[in-house]
Amino acid sequence: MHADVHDKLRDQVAAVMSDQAGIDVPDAEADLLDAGLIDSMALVTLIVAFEDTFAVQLPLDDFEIDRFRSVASIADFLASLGAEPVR
Amino acid sequence: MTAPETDRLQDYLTRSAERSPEAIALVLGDEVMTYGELEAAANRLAHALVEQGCKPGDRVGVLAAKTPWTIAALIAVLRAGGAYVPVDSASPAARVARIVRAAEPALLLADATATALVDGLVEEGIGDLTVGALAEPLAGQRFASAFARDDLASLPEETPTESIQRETDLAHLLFTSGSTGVPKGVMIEHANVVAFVEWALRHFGTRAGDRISGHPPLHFDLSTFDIYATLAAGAELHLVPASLGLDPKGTARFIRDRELTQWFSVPSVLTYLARFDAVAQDDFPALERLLWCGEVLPTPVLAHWMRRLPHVRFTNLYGPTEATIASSFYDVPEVPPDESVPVPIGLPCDGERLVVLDGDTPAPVGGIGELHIGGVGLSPGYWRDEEKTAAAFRADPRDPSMRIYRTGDLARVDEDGIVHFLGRTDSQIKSRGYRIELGEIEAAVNTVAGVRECAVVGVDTGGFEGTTICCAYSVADGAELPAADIRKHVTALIPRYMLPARWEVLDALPKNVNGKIDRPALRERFAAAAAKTTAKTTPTRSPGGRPNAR
Repeated sequence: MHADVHDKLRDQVAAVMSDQAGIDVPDAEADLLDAGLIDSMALVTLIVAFEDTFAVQLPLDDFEIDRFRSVASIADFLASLGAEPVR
Repeated sequence: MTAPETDRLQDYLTRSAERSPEAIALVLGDEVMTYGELEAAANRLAHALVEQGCKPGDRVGVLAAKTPWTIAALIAVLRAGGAYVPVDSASPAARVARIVRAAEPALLLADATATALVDGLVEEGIGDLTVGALAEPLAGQRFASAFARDDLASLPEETPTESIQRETDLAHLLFTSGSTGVPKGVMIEHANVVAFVEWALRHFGTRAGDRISGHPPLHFDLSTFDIYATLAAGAELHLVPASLGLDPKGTARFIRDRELTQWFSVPSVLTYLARFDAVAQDDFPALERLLWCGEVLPTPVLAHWMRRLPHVRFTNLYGPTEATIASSFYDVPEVPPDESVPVPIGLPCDGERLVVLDGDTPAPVGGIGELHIGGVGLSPGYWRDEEKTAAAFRADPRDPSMRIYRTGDLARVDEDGIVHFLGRTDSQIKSRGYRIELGEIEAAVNTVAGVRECAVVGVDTGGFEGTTICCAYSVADGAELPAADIRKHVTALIPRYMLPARWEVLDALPKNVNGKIDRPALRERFAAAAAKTTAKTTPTRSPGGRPNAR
């Protein structure tokens, strides 16, 4: 994936988090779990929002929390499932 | 019903420590504390509290993470003759300041997780704080601890006897959400907790070999069951690390690897683990019982767990903080045949009274009314708040010499005497087990400059999700106010568990014919958006099925 496409996906992940859950992420590498920015309820909301936005299905029965540690890791995870920036 | 062996919570520890000082009492990660070590730590800390001027009847704030030493601190306060006030050290300073002003603690016990918070309290204008550090000395920008763990070594490891004779009945103050934005302090006496613990020991047959989960936070009254039932039985309490909060597989691994015999948590944890399919068929062979309390466990989730773990006993516990831990129980006899029927809240625990009143009259069998609770768990009321106490606690119309607490829950009693919960009469909701007054959240949102109007509603997303907190707002003319900005502001005022999960900005909030905000319309609006979520993430019934299969 090209760097600009990569950055775009990260931006869109951050935008989904901000728009749907009101969570403002300081930067793509920030540790969302350590900072307490997402809890179980927010995570479930976000998973559905990511699935909707990027038209992919997240495998919940093979769930590894580290994939949701930062905007960067979420974007990588989504990309590995075939997600591309929208529009 | 036999008389309890003790009427003081801290005596549970002393008895078990005398019986088997080498036995393990508390475990967190690699940190292990035996009964003997816990007894000595609590006593030394109690001497330090007395030296710092803690007198019988004084309150002591405890602002620390859930660790073995923090539990030692709670018991130390009781040993010093005081009452503890456990405070969420992740809560914003403005809110904790209100709690501290109300409780007027003689001193605070804190750990490094609370350094910024204590600084914040000083900044909020709370002066003269004496702070004891539970581990390393604490040095904030505006305070320094008066003593730390290393200073305790020279203190005696026997109970400070001068204070034990003049203890008060009050064991702790637990602050819960208040509808006007001011938290209410529920007074809990030793006898309230002892009564529940004694019932639970009998009902569940708790024994020295048990390995018990410690999941709820210490500022939440469910944790007092974990702590004191464990200490009474001489069992092991395995504190669940906060880092597992978002990790369904890690939580399941914890239950499995620690060979827990009892798991007790709020339902949202069970829902979360089921959603991510973290529990295998016949998983957790050591587990004997699984209990939940704090809100409704959706029946499909319960059925999922019961099918996966046929060797485990499942018990629903019910009760508000004002009636101490839980007042009723329901042992689920079999996998619910109809998953659309809610789990009953059951029968009163020994010494408790559940009364469904329609106005001043007991509702007939099957009739709906407001649930009232009396009996051994009943709190004497709210700390220094006669008005709120009088509004919530009243004389039992059937016997005016007895007090009862108005729960605000609607219920009915069936022909077998089993109580069924039917919903709330007011704007209090439960989210992830936390009891939340929506008014407290609205009060916080309304402080944000640019907000013209706001309404916070709890939306039941129909089964799996539980109650989701949703906020709709409108902004002043010409103002631009993204949800993320509001969220950032209110994070400084309310705890994270109160933060709305969904936000929507509207040109104007919908109004009813009386010109009031139309909350049902807002609930429907959010529910329609949430319905999609539920449809996608309800677990399948087949073992090994993908919970998100479409």
